Amino acid sequence: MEWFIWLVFGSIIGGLIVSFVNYLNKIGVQLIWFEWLLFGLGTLLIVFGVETLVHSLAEFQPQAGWMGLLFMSVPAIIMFVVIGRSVKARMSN
Amino acid sequence: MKNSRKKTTVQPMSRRSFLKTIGLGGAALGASTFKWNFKSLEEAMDSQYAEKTMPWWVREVDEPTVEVDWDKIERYDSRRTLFWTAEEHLGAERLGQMNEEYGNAMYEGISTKKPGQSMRDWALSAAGGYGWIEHAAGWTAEETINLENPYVPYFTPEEFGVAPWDGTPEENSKTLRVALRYFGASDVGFVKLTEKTKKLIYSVDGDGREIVFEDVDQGYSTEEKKVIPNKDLWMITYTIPQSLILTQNGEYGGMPWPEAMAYASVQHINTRLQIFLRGLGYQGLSGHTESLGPAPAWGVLSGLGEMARTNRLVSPKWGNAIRTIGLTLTDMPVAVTKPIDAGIWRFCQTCKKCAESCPSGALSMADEPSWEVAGPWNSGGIKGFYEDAAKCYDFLFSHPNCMSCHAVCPYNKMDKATMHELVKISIAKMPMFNGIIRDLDDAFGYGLAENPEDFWDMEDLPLYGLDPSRS
Repeated sequence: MEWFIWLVFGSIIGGLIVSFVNYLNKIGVQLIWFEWLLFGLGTLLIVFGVETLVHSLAEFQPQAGWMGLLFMSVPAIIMFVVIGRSVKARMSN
Repeated sequence: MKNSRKKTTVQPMSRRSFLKTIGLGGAALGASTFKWNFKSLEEAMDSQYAEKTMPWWVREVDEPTVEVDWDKIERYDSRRTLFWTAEEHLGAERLGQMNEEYGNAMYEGISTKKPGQSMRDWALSAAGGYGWIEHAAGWTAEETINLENPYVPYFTPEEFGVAPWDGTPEENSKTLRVALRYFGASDVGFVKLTEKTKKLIYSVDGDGREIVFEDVDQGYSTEEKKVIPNKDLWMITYTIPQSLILTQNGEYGGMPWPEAMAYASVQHINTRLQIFLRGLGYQGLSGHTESLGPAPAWGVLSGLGEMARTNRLVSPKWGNAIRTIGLTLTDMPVAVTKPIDAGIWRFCQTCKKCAESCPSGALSMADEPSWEVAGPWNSGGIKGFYEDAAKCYDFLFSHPNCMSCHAVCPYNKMDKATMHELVKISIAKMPMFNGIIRDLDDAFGYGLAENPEDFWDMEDLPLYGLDPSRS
């Protein structure tokens, strides 16, 4: 059953990425290489954070799970903010 | 049974790596360093390549990571351990006090329903420990089993007039590993008995019987001695898992005595292995919990784990959530397993979490290992971290229970979250992060559970209280 949950989770993440890319195309924004890199790393950290949370709860270690999510999502959010600022700065020039 | 095969000369490789190699590198196979010495895929899968059970980041090495001076090692009289010399080291008066303190704590826990020490906790402890002494394995299978049991077909090949099982050493190792996993052991290793490794056989067992080598074909025992035949012998070593969940639910770790249940379990595994070997036409000399030799030493030599700050073994897969290492001597030829290096010994030198958490102060806080033993209870011969067993014993038997060092070890993790594997890879390959890993282990809240009562709310407790995915 667990594989099905991860399949759904992966589909949601994949769908969000496709929607995000479509949205960028729609508003005419092109990401440059380091923004794609940060986007990829940030997404990976979010996925890893969620995996840590889910499996730590299954290991009866809730504190470790939430700490794992925190440790990985904070850098991910910073990366997404950097992407946003970078795009904004480029668009305003 | 398959015919015996010629040994191959290529390096050991895991089944997974093997499949990866043939799957991804088929075209490049001829040009690669992989030397194809098999006649068929089946032959390859049945070879020693399929034997390796440790993760890829665990290296096999020729010598244990802890420094050993074989010249300093002599056969040890197991009656010198603290279990047999407590009165000598602590005094009769203190032993009496300890007994009283323990009884009072037990009474208080039961009468006040103290979390982790209430009546149901103690009842579970007693039930889990059943069989530890009652079912202690004998020196040989015949000493333990009831040969008249009408429901179990105990037999030897001789009774059918057929020869013993004649697999290759590699096949025999694999057979024994599968059987032991079925009986409940978590990992299995093999060491050849040589003049050097014979030094790790106790000279006298805790029951007072001398352990001697004689020019006989079959091992036997009398009221005075246990006899090992002078012939080619191998030590089979196997780790006995202990419930990590139960270990971490207690004031000092170990609310309902999971170690007692693991000790009871090893008695059954020892005896079952003896019966299995007997059925294959070979000997299995074993006994009660630690009747043959210092278990951690044999575990380290056979690559089940590395020596640790606790002066016990830590497994790369199971941490120190293993109660002991079962030992059985056999004359069935097996392929030996080598010591390993997973970075554990190096990690222990800076981690110190077990020693810091030890309420009795028994574990060494030294920065560097030493050749100096802490007392006659240590058999010595390694440059290690020797424990003050008298302090440990004093605390252990005057308090309801203590397994703090087992509960807090950063290596004690279940295997669901990917993070644990990454941490272990880092410890094995990138020791510069060891300090951060120790700090994060604290920050993530690993170690003792805050409320032992939570245990009783685990309606989906994994089988035997072991890892959800490994039990």
